[in-house]
Amino acid sequence: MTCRGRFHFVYILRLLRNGLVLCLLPMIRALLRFDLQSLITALKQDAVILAVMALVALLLWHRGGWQLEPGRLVLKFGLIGWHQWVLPFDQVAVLEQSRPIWLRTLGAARVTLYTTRSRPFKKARIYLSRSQGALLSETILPVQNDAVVFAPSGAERLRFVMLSANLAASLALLFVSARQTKSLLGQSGSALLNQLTLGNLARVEKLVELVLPAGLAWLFTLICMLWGLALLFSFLSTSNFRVSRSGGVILAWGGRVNHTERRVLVSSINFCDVRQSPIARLLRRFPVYLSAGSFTGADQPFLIYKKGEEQLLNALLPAFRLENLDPGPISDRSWPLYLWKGGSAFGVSAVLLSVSLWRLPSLSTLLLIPLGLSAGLLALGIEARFREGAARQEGGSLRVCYTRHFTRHDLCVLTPDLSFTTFQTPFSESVARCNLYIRLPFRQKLRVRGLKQFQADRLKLTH
Amino acid sequence: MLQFKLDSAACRVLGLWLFLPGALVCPFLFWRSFVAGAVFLIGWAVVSLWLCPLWAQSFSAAVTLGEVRVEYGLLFKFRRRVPTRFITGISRMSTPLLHSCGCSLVLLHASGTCLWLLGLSDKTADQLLALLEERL
Repeated sequence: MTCRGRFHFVYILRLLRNGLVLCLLPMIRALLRFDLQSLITALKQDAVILAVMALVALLLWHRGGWQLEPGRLVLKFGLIGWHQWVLPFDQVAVLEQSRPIWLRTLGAARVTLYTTRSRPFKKARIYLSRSQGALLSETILPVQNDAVVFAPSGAERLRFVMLSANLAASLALLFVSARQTKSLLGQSGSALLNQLTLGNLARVEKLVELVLPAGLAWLFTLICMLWGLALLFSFLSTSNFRVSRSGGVILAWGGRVNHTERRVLVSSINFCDVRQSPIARLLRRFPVYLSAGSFTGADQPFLIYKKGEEQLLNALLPAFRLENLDPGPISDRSWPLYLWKGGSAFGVSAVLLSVSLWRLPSLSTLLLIPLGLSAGLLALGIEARFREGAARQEGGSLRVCYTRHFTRHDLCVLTPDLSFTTFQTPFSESVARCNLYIRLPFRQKLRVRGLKQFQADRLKLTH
Repeated sequence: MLQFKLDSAACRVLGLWLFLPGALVCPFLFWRSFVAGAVFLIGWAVVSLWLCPLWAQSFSAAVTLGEVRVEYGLLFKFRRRVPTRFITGISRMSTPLLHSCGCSLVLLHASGTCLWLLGLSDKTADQLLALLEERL
């Protein structure tokens, strides 16, 4: 079956957005001169630039397109010369179809294809109509049945929302949204919005000041506001979330405002990462992230399970197992190797706290925050000294445990395409220990510290 | 099974390559201060013409049991193991200087990493390539 089509009209808007930076060039001269005549000239020049860019974008859209051929997808770009990307179906590791609200109003879908090979490209993003997107998904990674394996509801849904919330991503999204809202509302509208927002935040802060000191109250209010926003975004993106397995494809879909669907080819999965963040430990749940091809896991877990419910994940991935990992002899593992970050931060925070108690008592309560965080980092470093390790499991997969910042990662590495590097300093060489670096496809790297050299040498590379 | 080390002539060529950028920069330091330029030049010459060939001579490799194993390092030791099954490409190149020494540079590409074999003799490079092509 062969069918072809053009990209959605949204493709033109994307091209225009990339070229908008050219409009800044005439504005620079107007800003330097700062008079009306220069501004009018600059605006006329900008109008010409925009018209030319619109014409070029229209021609690029007209000339470009996609073509579905038996066993492969061909993407064409170019104006004067052709640029063609050929993607065989068996090289597609993950197909993501996302429809944020602005694309849904235009009847479009953003399709991202993650490949199993890094050449000639590791990711392709195109804009198609909804029906074309669905056709592409069903042709490249077809799903026959939708027997749902994971569908959180009630308290489990709440836990899933909390574990999917990403403060950093929400902060970035808030910043971008604030900028775009400001440009839409204009100066007076954005000033009014600022006044309302900050005014309400100040009222909440006054309330918190009844319990906490002034500086801490402000910080507490800000963190709670950002955390609330992160939870809201997470709630909307995980609404009606389902995960199912059909043949060799894992399907995950959900989202109320931004609808997202991901299809993962099971044979291309590099590893399953069970991340134990502080929130996951509090909720006693294990969120699972998948990495397949050039898709590195995103910021949302595929599912969460509790201890004793590993069969839920095995229903999705029969090859998955997390056996008890014996880290081997740990008596001569270096303490500074695991504790230097947390220890240094704790030391600095303690010194600052003691100085503030002596000179600036009003700041002391605020300094308890970095002290607490660094104490947590220290505790995780101690845990890492007893837990980090790597070993082959029954079935041939590689079991890896390592800690990074505040999160412990327990991985089941399924791909046989990996290489090992060990690194020894003179100190670690004296106790026959090393750091093991496991290199995976697409330059992903895992680090296990303080392994015995003989354990790293005996670790089977291929199974 | 194949075991090999870097060619000693190639190690000296590596040192020379490392020395050249320092030699290009040092006139600017001499222009600022003769002492600074002299110290920099001596230090750079020691590192590039003595330490670098010494480091390169610590390099040893083997192709055995379906793996390419490489060890190198003086103070800080590295050991690398790459499965031959997943080597996706081999590059071999030679500069005029390396060619005159009968050596070449070989790169082994895998999906997650690239192994640089800096300065193998032509005979060793031919043996290695033949062995890897047989296994690929």
